[in-house]
Amino acid sequence: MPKVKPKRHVPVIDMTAMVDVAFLLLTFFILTTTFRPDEKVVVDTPSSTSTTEITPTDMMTINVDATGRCFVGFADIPSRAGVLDKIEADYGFTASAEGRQFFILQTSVGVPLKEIATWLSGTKEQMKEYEQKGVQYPYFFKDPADNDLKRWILYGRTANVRTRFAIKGDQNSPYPAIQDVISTLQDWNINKFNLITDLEAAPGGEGAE
Amino acid sequence: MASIENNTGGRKGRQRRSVRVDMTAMVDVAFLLLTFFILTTTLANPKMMEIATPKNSPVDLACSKVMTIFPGQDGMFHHFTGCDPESVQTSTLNEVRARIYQNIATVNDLIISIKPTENSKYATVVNILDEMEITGAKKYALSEITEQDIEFLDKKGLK
Repeated sequence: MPKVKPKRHVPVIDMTAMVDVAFLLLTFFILTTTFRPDEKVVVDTPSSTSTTEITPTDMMTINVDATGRCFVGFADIPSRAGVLDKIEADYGFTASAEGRQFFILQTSVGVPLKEIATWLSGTKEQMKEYEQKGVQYPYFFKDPADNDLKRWILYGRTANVRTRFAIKGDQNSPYPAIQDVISTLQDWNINKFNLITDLEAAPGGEGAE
Repeated sequence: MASIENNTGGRKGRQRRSVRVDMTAMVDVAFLLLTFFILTTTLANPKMMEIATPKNSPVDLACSKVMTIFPGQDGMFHHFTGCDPESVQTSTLNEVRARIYQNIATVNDLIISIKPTENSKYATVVNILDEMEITGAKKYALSEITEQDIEFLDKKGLK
């Protein structure tokens, strides 16, 4: 007589449905994710109840970090190329193909205009490691003749006439720095611009009638 | 990967095979990636608020209609309504909002003048600009602080 073997049960869980859900969510998140571009300057924006979306093109962003350092950025690549053309014409140099390519990929730039030629003549590594002191503007550099920001604004506008302007300040930026940016915009008669903020919930109706 | 379950019971000579694929590893990978994407995604995109600043020409305002706000240090606001700067008060954002609502109700054609001081942080200024949106104040201006105002605030010891 054969021995009676105890039956061995291997519990098997059907994971098909779980896999379906997991991949569905995964696909959703992969498709909706856009990776944050590598920013040279850290700006933690304040929040407001404004719900206007940022326009993805034709936008020049003036970043001001917590210490008042200023970086400028152009939203679209044709504008960046146009801006570089203007800088080359004004400062009498021609960037190498590599330098031009590198410049076009920058989301924000904080190199004084006088140093752009030197900056873009280096190798890719050197350009990446280049110390960006920030765009010169009155808050840091009191000489009005050296107001690089004013020139950047002109370059932005002439490279792309539809350019609109946005100020992206840090919560802790000293206001005088922002005031200098606004005055520089006003020097060009640009009296309408945007402030970039995070979204916050509107307060309840306290005090309202 | 695949575990094949042999079912040898039942009728003699015939084998029924059900093929099961072990999906544990696949689920592991799927959830790992899912976790990564959930954690790295920021669903809240930055927004922007539009402001228009007055041209640099002095405008004569009837001071009785003007509420002046100086965003100061530490998120506090110094403000007065009307022609008497001596009635200046220091309040928090919520108190200022209540005051704006009150002024909108009592003053015709109220104009709010926002004059950030040397010590203001940018966030404080954005907060008060946002109040304009919240309270629906129609006329407001973000203007540069004058020497006179600086002197006045100094005298009062307000920062």
